[in-house]
Amino acid sequence: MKKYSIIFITLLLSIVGTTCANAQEDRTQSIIQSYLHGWEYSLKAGFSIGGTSPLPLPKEIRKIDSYAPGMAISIEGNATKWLNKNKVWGLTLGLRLENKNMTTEATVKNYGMKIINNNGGELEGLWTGGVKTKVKNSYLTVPILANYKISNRWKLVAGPYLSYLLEGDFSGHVYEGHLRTPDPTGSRVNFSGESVATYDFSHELRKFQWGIQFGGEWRAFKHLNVYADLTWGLNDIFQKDFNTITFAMYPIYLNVGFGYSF
Amino acid sequence: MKIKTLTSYFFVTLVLSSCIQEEALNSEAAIDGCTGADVQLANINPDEKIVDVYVHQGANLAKQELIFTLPEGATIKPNSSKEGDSDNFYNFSEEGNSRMFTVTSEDGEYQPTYTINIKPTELPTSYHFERLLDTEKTPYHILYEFAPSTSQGVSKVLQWSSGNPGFALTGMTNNPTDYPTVHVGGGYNGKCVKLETKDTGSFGAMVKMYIAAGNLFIGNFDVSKALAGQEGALKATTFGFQFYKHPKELKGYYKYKAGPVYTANGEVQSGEKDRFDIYAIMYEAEDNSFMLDGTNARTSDKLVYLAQLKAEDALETDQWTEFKIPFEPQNGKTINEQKLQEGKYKLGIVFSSSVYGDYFKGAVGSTLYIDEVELSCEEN
Repeated sequence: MKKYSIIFITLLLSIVGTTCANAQEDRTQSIIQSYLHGWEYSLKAGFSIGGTSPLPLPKEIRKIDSYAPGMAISIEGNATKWLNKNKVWGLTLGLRLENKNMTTEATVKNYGMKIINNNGGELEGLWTGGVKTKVKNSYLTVPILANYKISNRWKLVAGPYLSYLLEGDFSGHVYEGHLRTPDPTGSRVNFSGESVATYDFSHELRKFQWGIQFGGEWRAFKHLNVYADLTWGLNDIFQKDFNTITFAMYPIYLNVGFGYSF
Repeated sequence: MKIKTLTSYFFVTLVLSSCIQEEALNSEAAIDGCTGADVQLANINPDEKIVDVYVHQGANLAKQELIFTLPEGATIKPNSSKEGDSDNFYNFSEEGNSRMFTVTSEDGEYQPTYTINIKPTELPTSYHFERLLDTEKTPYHILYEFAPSTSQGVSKVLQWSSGNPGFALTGMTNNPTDYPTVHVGGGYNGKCVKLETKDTGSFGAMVKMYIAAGNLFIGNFDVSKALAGQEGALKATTFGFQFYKHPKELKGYYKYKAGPVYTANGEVQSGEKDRFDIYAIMYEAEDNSFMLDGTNARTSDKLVYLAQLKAEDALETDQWTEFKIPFEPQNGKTINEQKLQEGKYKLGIVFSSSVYGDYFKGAVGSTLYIDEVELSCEEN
């Protein structure tokens, strides 16, 4: 999967490169042409900060002990069609490659947990204690956004997005606590000190995700914009038949960066 | 970077911290421990929901003190109250000394019913390895010795303990014969016990417990401590049961084959060879609840006697071979007759397929067979 992302980035960059370097004249011509027909193109690059979290936090989560956003980069190419002459309303279709990462440590109580042995056996039960969770997901996302221009410099956008999971990692370990296995009436197994149990739910992640996105863009210079978008996932990141984690989790990320409009 | 830090703080505050919900009541409902003035050992079987409470002979069954260790917020009560029940004291004098208790979780959602059997017993001194405890849902073998009551006293029963409940957590098993401690045929006489050092797989490696030696002992295995680090694992095995005689010698029959590859904490050690271990201890236990465990069974200053198989006597053999191990005094102590009669001494016997298996050193595949063990005592 990593390979695909790299290929995609290279592809995107080479398109940008060729567009920029080569046919400078043609480009300018065609951009002016399409600009006159209400089309606008831009490239955006930024980073995402946020969390993949249940909403609201379920009773099982007692305390967030630590949170680290991790480095999550996004790049996007999009096309906007202005719908009226004065360019107040428009529609944007984009293609974005993005990471949504985070690492948290939480104290939980009776949190569903399953630890899988590499020969297929599993240890399942309710965990009370510390849980470290690492989320590192890469998506190919298509935002479909309505544009509203407040002023010459300010623009607001909002709309749905569709994401395809290119590469997913949802894993971590449990520490300092006890597992009640296999159910609430089972036996207690304490974990302390060096003894931790790792889990990996990466294969349970849903491939297609969607949500809504809204944000704003400020034109700093003629071609350069600064933007901030909030993306809010509306379906559970896990597959339907995955019920070890008893609550749904949604990615909610703020994406900030720069855009170049042609 | 500043923006990043600021926004992340914003996020943590907004999305996460602000919506921690009120704590839910605990849903755990189980019996995690059982002690009491007369309780020698309590074997809790979470699969069967049966607690066998072994009490010393002469215990007053009409007034048994049972103090249960329960999950946070859970409560326990007998299904029907009997005359004589008060606080932690229960009347077990009727119906086979067995009663039903229900544990209710703090949130009231879970209510498992346990059968609690009080078993007055004295430790038997000959061990034949012919019987298994009757079980329905337990995934492994539990060996059981039974000698019917004589005119003088109670029947002598012993439920052997092993590390099998801990091995059950590894997910390496499909049936009872996959466990390190197994009841098999082909004994010196009838059936016998087979102890085999097993690989604990990826789960074992994760908790740094790479192997599990087959073991069998008089005492208790506390699964809750089994994965709590090296020290915890040693403390999970507690040895001993009240004993009223002067032990002289431990003898029996064995067969042994060491596994091919010796490892220590998962690392292969070339040139090392595994060997098995048999030992027995007798120690002072002023209090019923006092038990020696894997950390101090052979070093405690409470030890009065130790019978230890010598390294040079632990041979590899595919023929049934006799072992005879004398009990030797420890710490310059002698048995106090009065205390002996009062039940202030405990005796434990331990068999293991890897002598340092409790420190996760040994060879996978090391196999020890044991049969027809006799604890000979001075006549009194």
